[in-house]
This record gives sequence, C-alpha cells and structure tokens, in this order.
Amino acid sequence: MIEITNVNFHYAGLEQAGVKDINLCIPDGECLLLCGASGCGKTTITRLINGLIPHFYKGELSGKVMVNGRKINEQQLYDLAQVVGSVFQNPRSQFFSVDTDGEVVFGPENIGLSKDEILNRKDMVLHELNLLKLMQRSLFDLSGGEKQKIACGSVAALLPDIILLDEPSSNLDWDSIKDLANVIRLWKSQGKTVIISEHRLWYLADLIDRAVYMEGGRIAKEWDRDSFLKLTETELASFELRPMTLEEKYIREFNDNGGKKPPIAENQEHSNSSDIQIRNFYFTYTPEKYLFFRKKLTPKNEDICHLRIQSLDVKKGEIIGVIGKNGSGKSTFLRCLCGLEKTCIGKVYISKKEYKGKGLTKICYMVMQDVNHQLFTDSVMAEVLLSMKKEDEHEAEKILKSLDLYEYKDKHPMALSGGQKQRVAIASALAAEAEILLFDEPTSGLDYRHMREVAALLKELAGKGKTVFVSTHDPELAVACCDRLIHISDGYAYET
Amino acid sequence: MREAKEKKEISGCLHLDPRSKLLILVLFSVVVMIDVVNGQAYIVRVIMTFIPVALVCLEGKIYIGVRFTVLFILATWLQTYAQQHFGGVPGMLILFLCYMVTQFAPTMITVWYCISTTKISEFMAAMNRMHAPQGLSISIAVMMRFFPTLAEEYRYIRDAMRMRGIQFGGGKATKMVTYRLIPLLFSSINIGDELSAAAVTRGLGAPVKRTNVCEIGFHMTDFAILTVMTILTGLYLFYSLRSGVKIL
Amino acid sequence: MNEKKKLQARDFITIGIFTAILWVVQMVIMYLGFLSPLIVAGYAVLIPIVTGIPMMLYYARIEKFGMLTITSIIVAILLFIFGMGLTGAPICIAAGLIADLIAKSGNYKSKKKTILSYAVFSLWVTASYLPLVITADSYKASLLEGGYDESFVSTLFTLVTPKTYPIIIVICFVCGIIGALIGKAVAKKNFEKAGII
Repeated sequence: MIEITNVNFHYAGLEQAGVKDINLCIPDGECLLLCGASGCGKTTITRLINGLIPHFYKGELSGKVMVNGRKINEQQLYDLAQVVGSVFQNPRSQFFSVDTDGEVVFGPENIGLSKDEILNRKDMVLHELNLLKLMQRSLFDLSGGEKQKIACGSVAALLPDIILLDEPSSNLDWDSIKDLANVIRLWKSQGKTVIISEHRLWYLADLIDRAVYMEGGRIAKEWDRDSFLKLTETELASFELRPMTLEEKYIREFNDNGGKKPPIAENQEHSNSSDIQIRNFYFTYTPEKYLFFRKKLTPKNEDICHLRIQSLDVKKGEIIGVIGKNGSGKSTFLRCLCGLEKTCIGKVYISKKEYKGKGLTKICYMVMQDVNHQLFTDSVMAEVLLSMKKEDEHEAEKILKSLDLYEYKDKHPMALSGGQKQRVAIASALAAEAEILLFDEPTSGLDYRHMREVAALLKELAGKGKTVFVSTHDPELAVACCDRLIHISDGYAYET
Repeated sequence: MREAKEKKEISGCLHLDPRSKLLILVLFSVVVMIDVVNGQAYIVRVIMTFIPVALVCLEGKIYIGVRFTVLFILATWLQTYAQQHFGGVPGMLILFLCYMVTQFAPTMITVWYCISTTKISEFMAAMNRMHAPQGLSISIAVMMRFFPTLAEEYRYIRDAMRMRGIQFGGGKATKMVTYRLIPLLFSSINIGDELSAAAVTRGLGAPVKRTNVCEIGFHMTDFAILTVMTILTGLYLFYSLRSGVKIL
Repeated sequence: MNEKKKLQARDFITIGIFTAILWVVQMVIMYLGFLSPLIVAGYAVLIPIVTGIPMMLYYARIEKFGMLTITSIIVAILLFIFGMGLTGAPICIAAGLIADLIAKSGNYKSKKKTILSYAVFSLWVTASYLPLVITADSYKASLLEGGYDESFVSTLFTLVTPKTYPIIIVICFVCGIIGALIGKAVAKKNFEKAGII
C-alpha cells in the first residue's frame, strides 16, 4: 500500500515545477498508469515513491508519503531498494556493470545477501524473464530493448513488491515493447504493485487497472480500467494523450514482413532526373579481416553487408518514413546517407550532380536521436552562425524566427527543453543549407503534443523543398506526416 | 545498429585471476623503468615483451598479435638503422617515435590485454579480497564502465562535428578542444546522474559488506605464467644490474 | 562527521566518472607525445591547462573532502599499470591529498583556494615524467654510442633531465593556475549558464 497525502514538492534551484496537492492511494497489486504531457509531474510521483525524493533529488517537500507502512523520509534508499524497484527511461545509462551477469546480481550484491541466495535469485529471474540467451554478453553490445530487459531483471532480482517504470518504452522498437508488456504482465500476475509513467498507451491497454492523468503538477483526472478503455481517440486527443489502439495496417508493417516483396531495385523507366537518386548504398560493420590494408567494398560483397540498398529514388520535398526493427539497418542507412560511414560506397545524384563520401555531409544533415551531442556553442545564435558558410546574423535571425526560437537566441542551448534543442539542431541544418534532412527517432520519449509538433515541423520543412528522411518506431508519427514509407529489413529496403 | 558488429568476447579463455594480471603489470612496470638496449638483459626483455603478445594470440586475437609483432620488429630495426644512417631533426624524430614504440608499446598491449579480459565483477571481487575500501572499488568500477561510454559518446560528438565540418574548430586549437570537451562533459553529467539514480535505487551504498558472486582464484595457468614472469624479471634485473645500469 | 559532508554512493560514482574523463584527456595528450619529443616536454603545460576544464566542473559537483584523494589514488594506480608507477605513485597521491586539504580549508567554495588546490593537484603530471628523467641518461648514452652529435643530443635532453626537473614542477604549477582560470571561465560560460552547477 502506497499512500501519498497532501504532498507538495519543489525541486531546489530549478524552475522545474515539481508537484502540488497530490493525494494518491495505491493498493497492493494494482497496476497504475500515470499519464500526461512532458513536465506534468509524472516522473516526480515515481521519485516520491522510490525515495529518490527526498534522498537523492533535493527540494522542499511537504505532506506525507507512506510506503511499506513507513514514512519515506525515515527509510534509507538501500532499505527501500528491497521494497521498490525502478526501471528508468534511458537503457544506456542505467546499468552499472559492463557484463550482463554482473548486472542481474548487482542489487542483491549491494545489500549483502549470501552467495547461494544471490545465485538462486539470479536463476529464478533469468528463467522468469527469459534472459538466459542474454547472459555472458557485454552490455555495450546489446540493443536498447535487450538492455531494458536486463534492467528489468536486475530490478526483479531484489524481489520488490512495488515496481516503478518511468517511460520504459521510449527507446524501444515494436518487438521489445511487446516483450516489456509481457514482463509487466508477469509482475502483475505475481501480485506486485506496478506503476507505469508513460506516453505510449497502446501496449498497456489490457494491463492497467487504473489511470491517473496529470497536468501542471496536479492530478487532474482519474479513470478506472473500463472507463479508460472506453475513451475514444478524440477524447484522448483532447487530453493530449496518444491513441490506445493502432491501426492494424501499421502494426503489420512495423512487425517486419520483409521478404514478401522483392527489395526496391533500379527502375529506369520511372526514374526522373528531377528525383534524388540514391545508388549502391552498401556498407558493412564487419569488413573482411585484413592485416594492414582494408579492401574496398563492392556490390559483389553483398552477403557480408549490413546495408544493401542498390537503388532508391525519392522526390524532392517528400517525407520518407524509414521503419524497421532495431538492428535492421535504419540508423546505418541514415548514417551512410549523410556520409558518416567512410567505407560506404554509395552515391547520391541530385539534378545530375554526383555526391559521395565526404561530399554527402555538405548536402545532408542529420538530427540525431540524442540531440545533445550536436550542440557545441554557448548560445542558440552562435550555434546557428557556426553552421553558416559565411556568418550572416540577419539570415540567422530569420531562421530562428521561423522556428520560434528567436526569444531564446542568447540562451545556452543545453538550458532549453528537449523539443527546443531539436529545433536548434534543425535551425543549424537550415543554416548549413542542407538539401536532405535526416531525423533519427525524433519522437522517442515525446508526448502527444510534441509529437504533433514534430510532425507539423517536418511538413513545413518539406514545404520549403527539403527532402526529409525520418526513421521511427512511432506509428503515430508515420501516420501524421509521412508521404511514403520504406521498410528496412536485414539491410534491404522494401516498399510498403 | 552497433549491436550488429562482431560480438566482443569479454572473458578470456585462460581465466587468469585479476590479481595475477595486476602482478604481471607490476613486473612489467619494473622492466619498463630500466632501459636496456643491448646484451643479455635486452634478450630477456624481448622475451618478456612477447609473453602478453602470446596471451593475446591465445585469446583468439591473432591479427592484433601479428600486427604488434611486425610493428615491434620494424621499430627495432628502424631504430638501429636510423642511429647509423640518419642525422638531424628528422632522424631524431624517427628515432624518438621508434623509442616510444619499443619502450611503451609492450606495456600498452599488456594493459590492453589485462583490461579487455577482466570483467568488472571479477575486478571488484579481487579488490574485495585485497581489502580495498568500498568507496574506492565503486569509483574504480564506475571508471572502468565509463571508458566505453566515453568512447561511445565521443563517437556521436565526432559524427556531429563531421556533419557540420567543424572537426578542426575553424583552425583554432582552443575550439578544437572545447567543441569536443563541452558536449562530452554535458552528456557525462547526465549519464552520471541517471546512473547514480539507477544504482542507489538498487541498494548501492548500503552499510553492509558487499557480496561478490564472481568466483576468482588462482589456477595452474596463473602459477605457470607468474612463475615464468617472475623468473624473467629476476633475470632481467640481474643482467641489467651486472651490466652497470643504475636504478634511480 | 556530518552525514552531508561524507562521500556517498552517488559521489563515488561522480568520482569514477570524472577520473575516467581526466585519464582519457591526459591519454589523448600523451598520444600526441608519440609524434614529437617536444610535446612530451609540453605535458607539463598541456595537461594541466586542458584538464582544467573538466576538473573545475568536478570541484563544483562534489565539494566534499576525499574527492581529490580518491582521484589521485586511482590515477596513481593507473600510472602504475602504465609503467610509471614505482616512483610516480607516491608523488601523485601526495599531490591529491594536499590539494584536497587546501580545497577543504576553503570549504570547496573559495575561488582562490580552489585554484591553488587545482595547481597543486596538477603536479601529479610531473610524476609521469619521472621514468623519462630516470632513463634519460642511459638513453642518451645509447644515442651517443649510435654516433649522434653530442651537442644535438644534449639540446634535446635539456628539456627533460634531473636538473630541469624542478623547473618542470614550477611550470606545471603555473599552468595549473592558468588551467584553473580557464576552466572557471569555461564553466561560467557554459555549465553555469546552462544551469547544471
């Protein structure tokens, strides 16, 4: 039983809102969904329950939080660890070990259980969560979904009664999300209390018992299971929540049906010279072993390649959605297209002009999944100017205005919100006069409103004549803005 | 897509105890301290250099072993050749490069071998057996986990720089450094916070003695390699002292 | 000791992370040294200045006694592993401990004390010179045997010899102060402006 009574919390030194007047009682064994826009206080609630507030994040806390029959501020984090388990959003940053075995036993080792007990628990967790295949591996070699599974296993090994998941599906593909749903189902059947804070609702529809909707740090609405499931798409949209059901068609497409149609091949008749022609994109991560000199890749090496797109024509000003499982070659395709993989032999023709290798970086610009990596300067203005061939403040201001960034021009890019950072990256792409814009998972971890905003922005960019490639696991985004979808499977591109 | 890369084997097939690896490194650092260029001691030194190479090859990384061997022989030969035939500044530079290769490359490959075949849990277990303070072990474990993370983050940053054509910071050395360092620090801080939150909610920092599930212990291979290394180091010290090299 | 002043699990993680950054940055500079002997001599200048940026952020992130000592112990272990340890490790740990004490006397808040503390801390760099200093003589002899012009050889080694060692220490200390000032400026311009310290 978790009882939160009259709780207010304000983060120290941050404008970040925190939460106000929270009253929430979660009985044992309930599966609760926390939903609402980014920054509405969902995460803060999970932190109140796992004790990160007040023990880790400092701030002003009033009211009472009771977990496991005791006040939270009287329990130490290491004691709570056996009661409340937490799975976080980012799979890359929540593991402590380098190898999977070490990670699963990390928690039990910390609390000093006996060796036999730990090994028993490890065995149990591995079987329950189906992790045996992942053992003896380096965590750095796992995909996001696999990492998230290990994180679940590591939490489960402490045998907590309460499990918190904070936007666990943000970085996962379709299959991994289904695995995650199965794990939650298992925990539910074991009678654990499960609390999920999430934007994506479709995979939770048959799992949750109750949904709590938050707005501006307050609990604004509550639904029980039945009334929540009855909400229509428009009603959900009015709360700025994502749809609960997904159109059958996209489920099938995202669920990897590659191989039924032949890969896209060169088509002389339909090839139009005004199109952008992408040719011979072959690339491998495992080149033939060599002693001193690397052999150049040719289309003949197709069988060792991880990317094998012989030919692809796209229209100028089109938005192309690139879909496929994690590890199918989506990101690799984008990386090759903007010239980041030096050994890729692909060429791009735009109005008869050939671009290859380094030349591609001049016409293509990728907005990365973690946009923090591509912000270098100490103000938004400087960031845009940095991309220009010749610094032109007037032009830069125009670009910033078109992206609603003008008022932030002197702010530090890292002080902005996620969506704003993304727009700064787009601004520098526009400043660099890139013709082809690539987006790698631009909506992972975004709420409904921000997702719509991204979709609108992509359309606007396409309207300006930019060609946009967007790789995504987000069916909603694909529906909202893509003119054409390409399915990548095993490195081959298929029309959908 | 990086997961499609060749799976790296993280545990060596020899299963040396981390403490033996540490001892090998200690012995190596003794050897590196004393510089000898000829005589019997030099032969011992070369033999010692090739022990980690052999270990690397035994772990299945034959290409790396061969590459190192060729480089080492080339550098040794060039060093002798350059001393006799080249003069002036370019000769000096070549000589210096060779010196660095012959002097430090053996240590590098040993270090690489020891780090790449040790799991963090093994290392923590070894630290535990040696009664190191827990805080220190945690810091070191995090550091070892963080090296690959830094490499990963740096790759993203480098890619982003390449896309914008600012790898060389517009020719300014200060910008070359800050453009790399500042995004790296920002993401390190983020990852650090998230990592800390994930670790403390799983009980890190509990005031109990931490258990170590990982089995470590000395086996025949440990004893064999340690014996060989100790004898060689002894011989090396003996020969080099006899030929009049001063230590300190 | 006050609970808040003691290092906790979270701080040990931060220590690990910043030590990793410190070590990687200095390794990169060290690899530049493979290119030219002059850069080797420049370690005492380059390393304190460049690592000043992460270190100033580090000082601001923890502000508890023990952070620098632990960092220096780990750096000493690493130096040891990389073959410079037998003589270097004690110097390194001493530098870390003294730097920690200086910073503590200013409660990790005083700007002057922090700068002084960092300058002392950066003296660990001189520890990595020791093996070069010590083996210089025998290496010099081997070069002379190889038929090199004596004046040329001795010019090269004027930069790193037992006699110039004290000068290197002074240079290193001064560059530590410069590095701390640059680091502070960069921190103000970036990390403070972005609101993370």
